Amino acid sequence: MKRHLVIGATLALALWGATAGAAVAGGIIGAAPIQGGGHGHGHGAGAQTFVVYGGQPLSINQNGQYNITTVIQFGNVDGVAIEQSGATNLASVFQYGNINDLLISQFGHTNSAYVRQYGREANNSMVGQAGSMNGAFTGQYGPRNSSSTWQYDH
Amino acid sequence: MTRIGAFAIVSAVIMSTSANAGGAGDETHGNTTIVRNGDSVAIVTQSGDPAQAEVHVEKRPGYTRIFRQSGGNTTVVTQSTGGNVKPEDLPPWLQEFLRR
Repeated sequence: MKRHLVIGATLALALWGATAGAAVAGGIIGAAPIQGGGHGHGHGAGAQTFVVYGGQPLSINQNGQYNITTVIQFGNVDGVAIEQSGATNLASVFQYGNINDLLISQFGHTNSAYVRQYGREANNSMVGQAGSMNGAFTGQYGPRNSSSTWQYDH
Repeated sequence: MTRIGAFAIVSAVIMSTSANAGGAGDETHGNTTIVRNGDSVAIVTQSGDPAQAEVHVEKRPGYTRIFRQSGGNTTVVTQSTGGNVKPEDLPPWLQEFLRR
């Protein structure tokens, strides 16, 4: 178990760093949805919907009071990292690639994460939530599924 | 022996012990529930008093479902090895979205 936690924490920190760096480099997209593009970086509050084809990684950083993000990915290798810091956070992710990787980090009063992964080869999901009310659903439908959920209520 | 060396040995022992213990199957240890099923694994860690946590695990070949609630934390994990997704498996709202 400790080995899983160490690996998970290391992976989380690595992805978190990549997310933060990418968000700074990518600039502010706001609520503009992305369709058909390779990748995108969002930074800002409000509702965002990303539909991504082509299997490019996607990183999203939201820090408004209400953060809502929906991501739908269709690439062969799908990867997404979402970080939300606000009073109310909602992240919904649907991944249909052969291999799906996902990291959701939420820091708010109320955190909700909804994940569905349909990988033909593998699904990997990590969800971390720190808030008063934390709710997470993870559905994985593939031959090899790995899910790690960490919740801390305070 | 240096402190770093001693730390490395202790860490190796802890990690190997954890790996061996996990190989047998499922664990609910303190705040963490681990369920293995074939090539799939699900881990849920929640804060709060483990004695007050509500944990339900449903497992059969190719299917795992975990419900764990502790304090203000609720997690549901469902894992299934049930084949490839078909277009009709997409949620109706997503099918409509993609037709635009």
